[in-house]
Amino acid sequence: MVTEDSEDSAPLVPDLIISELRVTDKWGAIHEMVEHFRGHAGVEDAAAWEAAIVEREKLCSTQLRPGVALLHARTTAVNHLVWAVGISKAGIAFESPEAPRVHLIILVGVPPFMVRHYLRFVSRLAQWLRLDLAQGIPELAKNKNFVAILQSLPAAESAASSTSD
Amino acid sequence: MKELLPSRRETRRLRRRIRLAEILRLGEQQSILVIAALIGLAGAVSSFAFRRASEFIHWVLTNQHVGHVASFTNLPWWKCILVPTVGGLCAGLILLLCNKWQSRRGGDYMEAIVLGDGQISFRSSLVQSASALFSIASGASIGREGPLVQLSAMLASLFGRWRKIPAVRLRLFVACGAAAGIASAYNAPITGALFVSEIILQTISMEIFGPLILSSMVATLASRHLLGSNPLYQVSLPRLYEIGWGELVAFAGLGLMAGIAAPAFLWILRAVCVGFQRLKIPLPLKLALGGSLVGTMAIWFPQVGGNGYSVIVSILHGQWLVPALVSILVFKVAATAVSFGSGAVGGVFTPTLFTGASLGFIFATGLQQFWPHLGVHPAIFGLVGMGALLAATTQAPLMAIILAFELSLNYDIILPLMAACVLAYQTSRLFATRGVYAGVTSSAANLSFERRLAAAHVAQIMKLDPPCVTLETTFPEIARLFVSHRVNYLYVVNAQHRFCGVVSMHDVKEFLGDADFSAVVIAGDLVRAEFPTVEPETSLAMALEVFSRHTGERMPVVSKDEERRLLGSVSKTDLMLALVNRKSAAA
Repeated sequence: MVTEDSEDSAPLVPDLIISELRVTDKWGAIHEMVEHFRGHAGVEDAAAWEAAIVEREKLCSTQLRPGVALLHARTTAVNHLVWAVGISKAGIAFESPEAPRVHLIILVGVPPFMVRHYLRFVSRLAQWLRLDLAQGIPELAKNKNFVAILQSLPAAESAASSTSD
Repeated sequence: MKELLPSRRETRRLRRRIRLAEILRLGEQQSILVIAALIGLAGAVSSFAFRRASEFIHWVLTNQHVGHVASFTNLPWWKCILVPTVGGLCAGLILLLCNKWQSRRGGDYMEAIVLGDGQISFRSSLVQSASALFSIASGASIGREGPLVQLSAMLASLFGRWRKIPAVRLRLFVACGAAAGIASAYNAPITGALFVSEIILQTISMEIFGPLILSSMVATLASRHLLGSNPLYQVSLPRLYEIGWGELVAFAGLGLMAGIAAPAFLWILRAVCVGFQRLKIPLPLKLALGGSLVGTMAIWFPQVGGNGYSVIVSILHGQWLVPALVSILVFKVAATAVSFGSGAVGGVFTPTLFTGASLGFIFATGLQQFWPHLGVHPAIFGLVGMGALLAATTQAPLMAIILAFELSLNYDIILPLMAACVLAYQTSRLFATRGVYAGVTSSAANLSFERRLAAAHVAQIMKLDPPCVTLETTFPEIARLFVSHRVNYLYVVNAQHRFCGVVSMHDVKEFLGDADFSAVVIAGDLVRAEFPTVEPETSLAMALEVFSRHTGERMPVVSKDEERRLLGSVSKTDLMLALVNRKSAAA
């Protein structure tokens, strides 16, 4: 049974990595990423998850830092924490056409009861992003080896954890 | 948005404050205790100020820095009449002229605690206290405790109104003020708490008694600092190592006598009161008449002036011959009845103690004459007589026992006191005696507990405008609200003020220093929708049931309609206080 405090020590490995997003607008990117989760064991209702993310995004933008967005929603449409990383070399207009484009999108879905677990996850993810990708998200996202870098996330995550403690 | 983010230093400070709050766990009950202590301090300061003001006016009227008895002894006969007459006239004029200035809000602290919403008029209290100052300073035979309690309770009420405290808790704070007033007047902390519990609230529940005790204690400590730490009636009595059957019977006899004397004493007070009410003259003239009668008696018996404190001290030192004391007792009761009946603002606590002390002393001296082998000590009987008569007149034996003990700090008298006070109380009940404070409390008791409980709803105790956030509120703002409001849950509403759930401090406390959260986390990401709510129409009994399944201290109050708008919050402490108050009022 998944509880509020479970999975704290789980490795920070995305359920899905989309190496090249086709679309270049925010809503299209959300739809494209959620579509990849159709049939995923952790997602019970992909459409409802997408709707929840859109609703959340309308409340307040989730652009974490220049080039990175953390799209997230707490919803019953997922039965445990699921997340994906999407890369757009061309970049996606998030705030306004003039604003810096987003090259790395992280999409998160979490059941409503997992508030603390969700916060810990976001904290660890944000820390990892700060430690390893601070040198330039757009450049890194354009790098062909980026997928390989992401797949080495557990090692990076453990380094981040030790720092935070 | 960036400029709204807290600095690292600020987030560290926020985190430290929340950790500290968690360690200290200052919940509702603890906050009540802190406020009760502050009220106790305010009560002591106001009592001190009142004493000094009364001494100053006494000096202006008599040109003497001594007590009332010494003043009346030194004054020429015409001044003995003039001073209390002028004092009564001034006291009456203040009441008459300021009548229109007085607020319609209740002025009596007992009504505010038992029947009202805890609100006491500042202006009415000020007028009453100013009037009492002139009556007391000019030598009226009344006690200071009345205005002291009123002032102290009014300050508590003012504080509550300023902080917009709900009625049920405001009543408790006013009760704390009253307890502080008594405690600082008599240097008697336990008596202060018991006076309110036993006489006014007629219950000793811990929800109420704890704050009362703390308030009384702080008031006593502060008063001792300002006025000195000696007991009010410091007498050296012989030790009662062994109490024989003969002595015990003698103390029981004193209790019986006090039980019979109490209804007579109260009847005289009320009869004279009715007599003055029938006089068709303006209030200032009534008070002036009362003052002139007291002054006339004081020409021959200066001991009738004032509250009787110095005479009590001399009785307890055994410095009286019975015939003289009998005369003084008769005239003192008459002077008290005249002062009380004419409408002078003040209390009858100390005059009652005087009467009891005289009765005890006279009774013991009589025993000495007929049964010298008993070896009774009149001063001890005087002290026990004070408690016994007070127990019968106030119908509060427990408070009377403790008061007599605290006034003398002589533990030897506790057993005789217990016997005499309980017997006096029970004997007075045979005469269907209505206690001196029975007016307010009996009218409250006319409503049964069930009726009151059924009629009581959450709307009556809910606090408006609870701290809440919208779904879009940012993480730093949430952190700041948690620190500034010291709550465990922040209520979340949408744009239409519909209640959406809560943000729990438990969820966010470990992330307060995480700057990344500032950018991406809002209240909507943290809200827990499953949270118990009540409606304004929910009965207190039902609210209590909901609270029994909820660990939090507060619950949101939402509208009954489909909108479910957030209207306020109700706290478990207020609910418990409301239930205790209603039960005690119906008891």
